[in-house]
Amino acid sequence: MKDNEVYESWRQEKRQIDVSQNFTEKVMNQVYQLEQSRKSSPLTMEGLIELISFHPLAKTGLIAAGAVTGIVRLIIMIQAILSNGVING
Amino acid sequence: MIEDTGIIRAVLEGDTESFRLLVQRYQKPVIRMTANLIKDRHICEDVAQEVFLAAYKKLPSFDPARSSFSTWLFTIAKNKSINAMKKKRVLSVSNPPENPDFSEPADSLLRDELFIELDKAMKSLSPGHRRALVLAEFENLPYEQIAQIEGVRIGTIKSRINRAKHRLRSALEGINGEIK
Repeated sequence: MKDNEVYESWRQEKRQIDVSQNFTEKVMNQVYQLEQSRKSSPLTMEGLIELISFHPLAKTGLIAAGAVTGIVRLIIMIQAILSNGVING
Repeated sequence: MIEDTGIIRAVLEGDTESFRLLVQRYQKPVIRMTANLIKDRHICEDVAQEVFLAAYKKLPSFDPARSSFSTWLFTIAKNKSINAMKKKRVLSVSNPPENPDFSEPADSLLRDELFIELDKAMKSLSPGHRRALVLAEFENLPYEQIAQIEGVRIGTIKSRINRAKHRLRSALEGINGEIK
């Protein structure tokens, strides 16, 4: 028995795979369950994290909202410092 | 045959049932990949289910300009397999079943022994080398796609596959030498 023949036979065997008949059904059931839970309670923490993680627009929106909040806070702080300075001065 | 991108578009537009087409199209390669990386047959299918569910969840983030759907799906399968192996600490491959090409009992015994040696040699490879071998030799994926899945350069993949094959060849030569 040549090494190449053995290797090829082993490789072909590794390529053979039996898939359970209900595999697709199992996956689709999970998918429908997920959809159901999303519809019944769309604002769960897990749903929110999923939304932010997997939707680029949601991620961008969150970052933009964070940046705007930071800038607004900075402006308020600067205004407070300046107004205090004006009053004290 | 409807292209993957067409199916994905339909799913993202709310046609959940279309996802079934993607599962049917890719279930065999995904299960085969996980089966060749994880020992337990039941775990393989469980991991494969996790792969498809994760793919469904992440589908809005899939960018066809960056990679093909199969590359993207295999990347998820790779990560899920790594996690499953970490959890279960199962790094082996299944025992080989009967092969109809060898009819003589003596040949069959020898073949079984050689296959066990090949399995052992594959088990002894590092996870990266084993994944590269599985994707190249069992899934027949091009080096470029494997490099994308693994997140490394093509040269690294070529080197990993060469080393893995060399290890397997040495294992075969070793046992053949003992028999002769």
